[in-house]
Amino acid sequence: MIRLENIHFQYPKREALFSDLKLHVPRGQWVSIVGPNGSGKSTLVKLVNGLLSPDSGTIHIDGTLLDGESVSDIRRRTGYLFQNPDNQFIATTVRDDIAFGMENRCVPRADMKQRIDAIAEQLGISEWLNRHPASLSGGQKQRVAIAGLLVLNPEIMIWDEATSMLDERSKQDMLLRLRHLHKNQGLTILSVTHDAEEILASDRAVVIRNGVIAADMSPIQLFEDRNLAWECRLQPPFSLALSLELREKGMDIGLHHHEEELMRALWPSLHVNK
Amino acid sequence: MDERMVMGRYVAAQSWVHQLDPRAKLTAMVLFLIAVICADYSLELAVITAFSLVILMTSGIPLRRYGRASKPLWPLMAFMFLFYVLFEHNGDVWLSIGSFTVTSEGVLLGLYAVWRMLLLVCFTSILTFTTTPIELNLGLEAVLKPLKLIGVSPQQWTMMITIALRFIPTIFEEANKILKAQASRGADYEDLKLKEKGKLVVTLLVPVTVGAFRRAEELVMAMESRGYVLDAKRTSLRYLTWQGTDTLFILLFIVLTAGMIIL
Amino acid sequence: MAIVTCEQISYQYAKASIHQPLALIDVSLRLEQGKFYAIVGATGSGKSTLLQHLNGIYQPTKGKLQVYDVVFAAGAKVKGLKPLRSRVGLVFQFPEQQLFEETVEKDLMFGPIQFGADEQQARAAAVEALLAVGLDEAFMARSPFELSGGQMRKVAIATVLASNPELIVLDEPTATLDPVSRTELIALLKRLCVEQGRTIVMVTHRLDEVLAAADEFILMQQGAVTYTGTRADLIRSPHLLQAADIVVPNEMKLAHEISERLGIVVDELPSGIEGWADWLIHNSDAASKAVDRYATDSSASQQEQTDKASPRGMTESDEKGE
Repeated sequence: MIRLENIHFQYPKREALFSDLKLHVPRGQWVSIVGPNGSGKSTLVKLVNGLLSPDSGTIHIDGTLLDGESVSDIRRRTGYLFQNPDNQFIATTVRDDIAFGMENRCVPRADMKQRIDAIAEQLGISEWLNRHPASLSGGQKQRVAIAGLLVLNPEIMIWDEATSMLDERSKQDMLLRLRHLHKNQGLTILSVTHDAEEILASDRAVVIRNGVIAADMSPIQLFEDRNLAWECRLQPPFSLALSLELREKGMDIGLHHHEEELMRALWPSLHVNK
Repeated sequence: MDERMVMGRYVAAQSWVHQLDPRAKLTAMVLFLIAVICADYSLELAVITAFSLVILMTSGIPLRRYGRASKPLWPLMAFMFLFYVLFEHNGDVWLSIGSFTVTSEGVLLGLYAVWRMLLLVCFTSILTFTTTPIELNLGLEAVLKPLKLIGVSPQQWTMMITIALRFIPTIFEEANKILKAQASRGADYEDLKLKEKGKLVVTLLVPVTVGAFRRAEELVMAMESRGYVLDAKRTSLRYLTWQGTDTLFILLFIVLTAGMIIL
Repeated sequence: MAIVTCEQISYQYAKASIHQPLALIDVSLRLEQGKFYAIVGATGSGKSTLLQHLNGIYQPTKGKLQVYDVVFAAGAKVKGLKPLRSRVGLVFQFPEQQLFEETVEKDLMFGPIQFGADEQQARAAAVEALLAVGLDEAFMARSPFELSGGQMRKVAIATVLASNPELIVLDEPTATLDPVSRTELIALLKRLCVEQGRTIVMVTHRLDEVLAAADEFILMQQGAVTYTGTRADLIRSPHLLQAADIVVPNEMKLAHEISERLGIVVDELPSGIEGWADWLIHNSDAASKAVDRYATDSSASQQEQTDKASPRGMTESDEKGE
């Protein structure tokens, strides 16, 4: 449903970032976009949302070519969540902010009110509707931002380092929401992230390097390739790192990224050698 | 963070002035301004004062608050008074030292100027004390609509105000943090000499400006991605309702202002 | 020797705040010279407020706090804190957002000059600080605003190191960094602590990243300190972490489980990936000579273990080992 073909992109006065980049993402897939710093991960997802335009090449979203005419509709269909929860709030109350996207699309007032109430209920943020965004915590702000996107019924969710400024609890909460959106609402997800848990929960890892897609693999394969993972500034979570290390040292108990699984695999052979 | 940075000068209360449409209040303020400028006898000013006092006292906000609101302008008022006293030479001479003469007319005009100023300050305070920033902004957009005819976009202005209201708390918080960080690096504002204080302002301004630009850049992107197009047609969740009391309120001011112009 | 002593300090914000009040309630602590402390707490637990007490940005509204030779008693505002602040380096959250000079060099020299160093001394301190964070001298002439995010963070930390503080206090220094940079930064702090004898106090909400590095852990919850102690004691009390809304690291879960099942004291368990791998290999069939003999047994015990995760499995394993 997302098709990028022959994409060339260059920021003014800098070297070409993408030369002949190509990416297909089928409907309903959850893709983690990873790569070294400055490889253009964020640029790539901005192209999909029409925030940046390629110098050449085409982008199709569900068969629609992204151009000046379709960009408004494509932006509605591709909800974009930014890294800094502070800098994506426009209004002075949560309610007005959720309304912002709908106001821009001339949704009638009565309809807006009803949709705000429904989405607030769904995300459990009804209590905050009259608060000033500055009074919310980072995790709460991101939840409100998600509400502002979901209220427009997008088919694709783009997360651009959306959890990197959050504490661990909020991050877990966000990951849970992402799983839900993927599984129950069938959203296609593109996520630029360094979070190992999130990458492992996704369907596919796409590595951007030197202007092209350098690797396209399953998340677990990405972490198995230690050099590649390190180059993408990633570290496997503890359990997976430990099972990789054990395998390297000749004790293969399989690869596990859940602590319970690891324990179950370790247990039979474990005893104390004094 | 200070509550005031979010709510401006709004003071929550249940009074008829709070219930008024911000458009009515804004229009009334313009009429009031004209009335105050046109009033040039003490009787006229007394009428306006009585009129304002009635509104002030029924606004559900203690009069002390209005007094405090005018405080920052006291030096300006003092200056205006002195200006008239020293440069107006008509009327009876009350005092003469060298080339300076103080005349009855000068004192009178000075007093009038201060009086007018006080009236204006109190009345703008009524507006800002009884109207939330969101309402004020909506009212402004509506009142400024005619500007569209001369090619100025009130939507742009009000969006700018909205964003300012949204970011003032964040930027203050950031500035406060930078100030603390510089204090930790040995430059404590409280301990510095005047000359060094100037230098410290630079250490504050650079990061705050850089931060504001970074925020602005990201915000523009966030707004675009959510479908905002400058000056495109859009609907609004908020709306204002004009009621009978609003018409009555405006009528009162028209009568007052007309009276001042005719007399 | 204790360099910081908090005796039941409380802090109450004066103004009406739209945030939840991040006050401190009855905090008592002792920090020793040369150790690595991790203050762990959820958002709004008061950890930043506590941190800013260590160089007198905030001063307690109740109780008594002593940092080196400066005593803060409730109600008596202490001024002229320059000497203290030259000994206590405080790195705020996102310190790269506080850089302001045209060159890295000038920014690094700002602190030392404020604290009374001359140009030459300040420049020497700047170079040393830059090297300490793993950047070379070529960075001195560059503008801090053209560096990458990770580099800016390092320079910003160096601006505090340049004043040669004995106690370095950092508020979530790893926030928003990528995992590799995070590990590198913690390693850097550990080096400053071990090799140069500086005391490190670091605030974080991620226990996993400091688990191996920190000597002492201070757990905060709603303005109060609910735990202070070593890693081993912390592993023994996961309920404290849950109460403080801290995600329990998988390494801790593993340590806890192995200690319970095998009856090993937590203090004897390893830390870090390599440490664990070596320990596990040493303490498993892979290490014993007669691997074959246990192959069948082990699948049997796996069966039993999935049926009922009983503590009896532990004794069995123990017996097998001997």
